[in-house]
Amino acid sequence: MEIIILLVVASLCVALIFLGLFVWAVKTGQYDDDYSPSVRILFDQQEEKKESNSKIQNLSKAGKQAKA
Amino acid sequence: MSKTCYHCGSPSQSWVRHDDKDFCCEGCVMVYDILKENDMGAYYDIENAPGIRNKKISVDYYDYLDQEDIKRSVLDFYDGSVGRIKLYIPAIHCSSCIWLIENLHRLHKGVIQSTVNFNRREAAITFNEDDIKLSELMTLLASINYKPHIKTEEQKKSSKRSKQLLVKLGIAGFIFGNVMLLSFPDYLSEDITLNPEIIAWFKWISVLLSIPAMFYSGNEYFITAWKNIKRGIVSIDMPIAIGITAIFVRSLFEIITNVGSGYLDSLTGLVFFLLIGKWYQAKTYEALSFDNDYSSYFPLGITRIVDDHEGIVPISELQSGDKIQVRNGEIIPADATLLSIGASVDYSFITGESVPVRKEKGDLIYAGGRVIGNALLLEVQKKVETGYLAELWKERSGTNEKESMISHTLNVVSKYFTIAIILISTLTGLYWAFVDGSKAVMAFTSVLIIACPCALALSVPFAFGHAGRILGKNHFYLKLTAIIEKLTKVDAIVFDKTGTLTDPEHFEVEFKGEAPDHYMQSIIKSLAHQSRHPLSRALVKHLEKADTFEVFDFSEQEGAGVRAQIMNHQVKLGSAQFVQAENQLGNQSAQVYVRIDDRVLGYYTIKNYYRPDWQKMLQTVQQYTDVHILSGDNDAEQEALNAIVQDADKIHFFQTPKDKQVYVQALKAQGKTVMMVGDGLNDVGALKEAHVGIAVADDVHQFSPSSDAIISAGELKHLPRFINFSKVALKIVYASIVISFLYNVVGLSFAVSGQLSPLFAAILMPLSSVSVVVYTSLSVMMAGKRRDL
Repeated sequence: MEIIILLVVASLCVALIFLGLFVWAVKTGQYDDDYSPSVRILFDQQEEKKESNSKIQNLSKAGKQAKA
Repeated sequence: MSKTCYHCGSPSQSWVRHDDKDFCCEGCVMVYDILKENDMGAYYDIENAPGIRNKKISVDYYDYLDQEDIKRSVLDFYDGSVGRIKLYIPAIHCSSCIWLIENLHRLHKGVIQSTVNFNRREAAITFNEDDIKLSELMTLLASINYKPHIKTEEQKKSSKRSKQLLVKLGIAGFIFGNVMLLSFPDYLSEDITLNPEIIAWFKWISVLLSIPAMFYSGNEYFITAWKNIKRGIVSIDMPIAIGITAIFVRSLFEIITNVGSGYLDSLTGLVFFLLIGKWYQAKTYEALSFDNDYSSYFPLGITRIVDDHEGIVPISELQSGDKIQVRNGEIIPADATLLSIGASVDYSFITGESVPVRKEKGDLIYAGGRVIGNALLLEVQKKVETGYLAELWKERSGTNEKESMISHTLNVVSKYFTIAIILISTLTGLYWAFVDGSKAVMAFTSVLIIACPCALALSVPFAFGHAGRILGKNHFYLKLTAIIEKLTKVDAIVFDKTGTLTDPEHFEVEFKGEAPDHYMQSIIKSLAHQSRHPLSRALVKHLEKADTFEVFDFSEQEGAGVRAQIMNHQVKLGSAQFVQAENQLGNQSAQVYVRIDDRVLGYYTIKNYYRPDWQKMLQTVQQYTDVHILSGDNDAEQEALNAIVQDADKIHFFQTPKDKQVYVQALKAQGKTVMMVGDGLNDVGALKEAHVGIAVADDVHQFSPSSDAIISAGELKHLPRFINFSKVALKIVYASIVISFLYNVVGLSFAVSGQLSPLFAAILMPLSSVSVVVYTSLSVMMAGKRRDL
């Protein structure tokens, strides 16, 4: 029967590992956002366009000037 | 199907055809082009018309962010070239937004990585300072209409708190499950017995496990109970703390003396349930901020001029006597005198008055005004913290009473409850001390254990927590769930007019006189287009279908009107005096006279546009409360309002922010429970002064004045329904308090007679908690369904 004590202690240790994992997950912010990861996984990875586009920077500057 | 904008999905009357797609405005086209040029068309594939329309024309300057010390204070990480910042971007609303912001690096190579936290409307962006400056990053986001905000201190704190609660909850749950498992032998009947040695082991492991449940997970109950004792208040935490302690001490005693197995399963279960209740109630709206202070509205830095040198300093460093430059669209951060020749300042932010105010050289300008036109040179009179606006903010009474998370009812009930329990337990202990000394301590602790108000403590969090969620689903967001109770007590409601009952974005425009044809309309529109005056803007909006011509010799006379030469006509728009027309109708409402060459065509009347169903809403609430209306505007609309609120004493015009606050104060002095419904900074004082301050916001994720609740403008018409629903929720709380008392009566009768068996306690205690939780949650949900909420 004494084996039960050992088993209980062993099971508690296993459970403690999971508790530790849970605490770690909370602390690292894995419960912060429950929406975006579910969407993010569906985004297609597209070919990166290497050259940076200078036009946008011009445009945003132009927009700023227009507003001002 | 009606046509909607390809970018933002909004309906429009004028369309811009571009790239075979329809757009509502040039702004949307611009963003579309930016995305298309960068092969980011996928933005439109993920969701239909995901874009954001740039509704308000406001110019924001971010160059102060490049100042070394400001930069360091806002960046989370900075090593000289690579920086990381968390920005609050309220415009994030769909999966396309997530995609776009996370692909920012394709728009600009300086962005290394960006990650969106959707719940908090937050983006964490890592960028290379050598390629993109912080100010440029902000401008980039603003240019695609995702206007970023620097996070406030309050927003940073709230996420920490919710994390800690979650950890506590997880640990309590873990302990509860394991202790229950270890108590299993106790639940078995006498026939099946385990080796006593094993049971003893189990008990000691349980004791070890319960210690963190009590002192880590449940520590807040002890802390608040102690704090309240020191302040001389008895709150619900007190009987909980007493109960928990009693259970623990008694269990420890039983286990040490080997007379029983204690109630550690009940103890840990209790802590777990209580924390669930707390978590349920504390699950607030992370993305909303209820505690903005004036500084959330101000820029972090301002241009200061010292010896002809311009430099950007944090506004907290401004001293009186400093010379500052405030540009078009920027907000004046401190009370200051005007050094420039003349200026118009838009105080709509503070007073709700939509017409800009003309200021002359030497005039004192209060903080909070927005500069229109040329940049102004100002001399600071008062430091930011002592200015007019900051003072308004500080004047707040009864701060403590509002901070309490627990409802008023529960506090009253628990006060008498605690006193009663301590009395009963002492009497029981004394009685048994005389009758049967061996039972005295047992009976005394039994009473404390069984009377532990778990069911009582759970009724409010679950009922109000659930009701709060239902209201949140209907775009009525509460800062604390305890506000539900305050809502039910309200017997006077003060409405702000401008921006609350009326929609600041819309105007009702009517023409009196000789109706202008399309050509004339186009001329008028062309002229109005040149001016930033709100009335001109309203006219432009009204004349959407008209064309625009080229404008020559434009000049604007502040507070009077505008004139220019268009298509060889001399055109004047403005007040009656300005166009030399006879003033026909007193000052009924805002009027814009039109004069083309030598002829006065007539005038436009521009009225505020009331939100739909406002009359019905007011009439409904008027049935059971007093309705008051305050307006910072002129009294042009007295008649319209009088039709609803007959009592002329309850409608007041020309109210300054201070007046509004004093008005609410006066109502409070009459013993009324006051609810204030307002929208702008001009209502801040009143919102804080009132028992319940509700901020009305067109976009709830935008900054709104600090308040107890935020309501989406479109839902304001449902306010009576929300109040009604709160009343039902309160009734449900009363009912569940009765239920938990019934359990207590049954349990106490056993405990007092010294017959409490561990098995009985093990069944009764969780049963009472669970039944109260189930009852309150279900009935609140049903009440919500029945009211279509």
